[in-house]
Amino acid sequence: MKRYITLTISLFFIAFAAFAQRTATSFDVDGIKVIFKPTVKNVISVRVFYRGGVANYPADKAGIEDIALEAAGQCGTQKYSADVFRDRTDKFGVVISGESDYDYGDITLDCVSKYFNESWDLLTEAVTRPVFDEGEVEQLKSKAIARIRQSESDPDDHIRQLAIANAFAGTPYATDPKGTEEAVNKLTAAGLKSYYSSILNKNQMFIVVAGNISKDELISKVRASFGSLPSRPYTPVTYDPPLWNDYKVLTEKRDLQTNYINGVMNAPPVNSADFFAYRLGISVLSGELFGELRTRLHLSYDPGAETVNQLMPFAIMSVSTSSPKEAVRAMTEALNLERNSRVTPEGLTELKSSYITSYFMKEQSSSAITGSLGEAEVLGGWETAENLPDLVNKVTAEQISGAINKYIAGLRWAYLGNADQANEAEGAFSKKVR
Amino acid sequence: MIHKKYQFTKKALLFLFLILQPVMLFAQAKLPENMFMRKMPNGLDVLVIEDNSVPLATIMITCKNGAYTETPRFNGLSHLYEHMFFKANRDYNSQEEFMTRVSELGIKFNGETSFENVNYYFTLPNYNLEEGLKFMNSAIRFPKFDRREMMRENVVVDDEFQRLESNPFHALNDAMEHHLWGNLYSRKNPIGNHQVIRSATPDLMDSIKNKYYFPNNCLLTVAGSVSHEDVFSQVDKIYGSWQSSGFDPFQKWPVPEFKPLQKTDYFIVESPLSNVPVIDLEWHGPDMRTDVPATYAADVFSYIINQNSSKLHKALVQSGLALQVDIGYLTLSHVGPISLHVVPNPSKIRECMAELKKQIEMMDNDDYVTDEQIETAKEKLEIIKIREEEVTSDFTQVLAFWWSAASMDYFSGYNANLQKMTRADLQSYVRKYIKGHPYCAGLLLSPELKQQVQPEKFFAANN
Repeated sequence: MKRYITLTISLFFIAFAAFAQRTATSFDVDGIKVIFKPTVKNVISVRVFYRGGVANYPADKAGIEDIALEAAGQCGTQKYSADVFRDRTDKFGVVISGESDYDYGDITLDCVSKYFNESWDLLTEAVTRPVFDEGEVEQLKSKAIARIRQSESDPDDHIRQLAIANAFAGTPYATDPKGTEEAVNKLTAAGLKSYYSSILNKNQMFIVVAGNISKDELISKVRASFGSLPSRPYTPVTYDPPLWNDYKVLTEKRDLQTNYINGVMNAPPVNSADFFAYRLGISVLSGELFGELRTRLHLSYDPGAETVNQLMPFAIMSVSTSSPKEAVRAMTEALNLERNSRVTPEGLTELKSSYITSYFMKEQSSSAITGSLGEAEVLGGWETAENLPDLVNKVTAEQISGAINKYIAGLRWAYLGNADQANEAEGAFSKKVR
Repeated sequence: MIHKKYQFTKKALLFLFLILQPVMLFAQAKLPENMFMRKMPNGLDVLVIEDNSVPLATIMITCKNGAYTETPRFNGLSHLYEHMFFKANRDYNSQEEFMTRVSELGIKFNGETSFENVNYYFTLPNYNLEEGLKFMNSAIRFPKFDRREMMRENVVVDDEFQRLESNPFHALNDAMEHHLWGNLYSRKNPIGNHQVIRSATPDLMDSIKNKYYFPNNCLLTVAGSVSHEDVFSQVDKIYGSWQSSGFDPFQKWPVPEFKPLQKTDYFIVESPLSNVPVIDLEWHGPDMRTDVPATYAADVFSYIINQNSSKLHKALVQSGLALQVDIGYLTLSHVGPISLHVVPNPSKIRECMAELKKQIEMMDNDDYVTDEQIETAKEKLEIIKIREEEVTSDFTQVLAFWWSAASMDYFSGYNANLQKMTRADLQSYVRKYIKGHPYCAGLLLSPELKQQVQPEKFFAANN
């Protein structure tokens, strides 16, 4: 059986060339970079990216980019009032949305092929001619504050906020890109408009498109809509990521039915030679956590681990459990096991196969394609996302072991739940990986 | 995994729940040209969707089981059964062996227990299709229900419960189900009851298997880069020996009829976990067995009300009384709920509620919806269908829903039948199910906000 699997995985990669929808390309249109991947489906995704994220504004303006990009499509444009704009999105079944995260923001268009022209017109208006109507901005702020409050009350969201706050204290990532209630309350329509003008810059922006359209049509549309945007010098942000080689826990007491725990670890950046080896290593860890904490020890419903690809990257373990002390011990043991063992040849084959299944699952969606290509571009180059199957296929067991041992040297824990149980688990949180 | 009901998010996710038995009055259409359906001699429905965009295949088994088959004494056993599916069976001696095979085949898997179906799916490289079909066959036909594995799984299911209970909206959702369905609450509660699950035995699992897990009560869906002839041939070989039960479980163990609400019922849920107040109004809506036309009208009406231009949206959201309002109908074979969710402006809950009641009274007026809104709604529903088909591995989930709550004929004829909906049909739907009919109304808020707004003074049926 193993022999058969090994044989077929190689066929998988051969088959990939024949099966892939088509390959992505990039080109310049009047000074703005465009990344384009043709697809065979009837849903088109366009994302206009703005580089920088939290590096673009001070901490006391937290949320300004997220709300400015949302407001661009929600608070009126020169051609359409907010009301008319929303009516048209209803009429053509198009979703225009804007948001921002740690490293970038985007305004996205998601539509069906049949109404691409009408949808593109709305995207053009949102990107190039937003007016930030005062009344609409106030309504949008109220919604943003409700979202912030809800996110704080959602344990899964909030434990992630705590984990990042603990890991990135003193860095730009200490600013939550979604903002705080206090910061969002102070935002004004004029301030949003001025801020948006500051990031509307061809050299800071790029566009990613996936859909069943022609390259010529796309070039013509980009040229007509965005060719005259301002062009100013822009230097992409670089960070010196923090190095976690010790153990700290941030605890927040909350009366919940179960306890939520996250553990943050160092990770290599996208342009590192260790990047894919480490990602596969974290996939192994995720499987190990599931196998140990759910299957063998029955401590948790959905334990796992993932890499978070950012300019300051990290890996994170997550678990919810009624037995935090035992769970944290098991998580540390899972790390030790991975640091001190090596993936077998069969295991590596299976791991890659599973990883590439996930890759192709995402490739079914135009929106997921533009999301992954755009994120990769921000982090160093869109080709990383496009060439993922080949790059994953080259990883060796030795490289995985080396990457895991190199980067996992400390932990930043976050805990949300019962305080007494957190105290009981104190020793487990400070236990070093070996 | 269980069916999730409600979230307040930045990007509205549009889920379309379609329905129905075909009825002579309504058009039926052929399946799209990339979809193929067959019923095997043993009664197993087999649906193949060909999509060569990526080299994957998804295999899904859907069984007509879930909350609607459960008395209080059995509430949660469909859900536990779903968990036990991914464990030991005749061909894999333990969960560890099962998971090893998952890795070998490059599988991404999950299961979901809902109101009227339970489904299990594997997505894997398409060259592993045959092995995947065999693997599914082992799990669906020959589960072991190992007593020790069941006991250990209790902790895992408990954590799933506790995660749900830690969600700020859970208290409102659960209270609503109790108010809306009364003593048949278990029939609408997919996650089930803690104690029932904790005390479950292998015998009880077997009893579920022996009632529902037969080919004549299941759908096998295979979707992705596959050939339908090849799939049908492999399915014949692998599943052909699966014996029909020879009975219809829903004739033998009928789902009891839900008694209509007798009176409008208001309740307040106070939760320290709630940072955002939510109002939820729910009615008993139509179902596929009794009122097919109303299911189409319900979908069109919902998509009108959810438009920016709707009178309800203008009266609540654009006026500043609410941050969000949406209405939805969940098509089911046994009484689908009509749900009206509102996120009120925390400082205007009273005014928001008053306006909401006023709007409900106007919903059947001749001028409540415009011709343009009716057409936009129909168009939007068609667009949602295109979107649902984009990600084939997810589309299987949508088709499983249609198959269990309705039929594939209903799915095929859906858009054509939507086009026939008129203003009179929409008014008839509102008059038959919403306006003047008893409903349940819940308000979720934090203790601090409750003290501040004193909802007991106005959040009441007679106000």
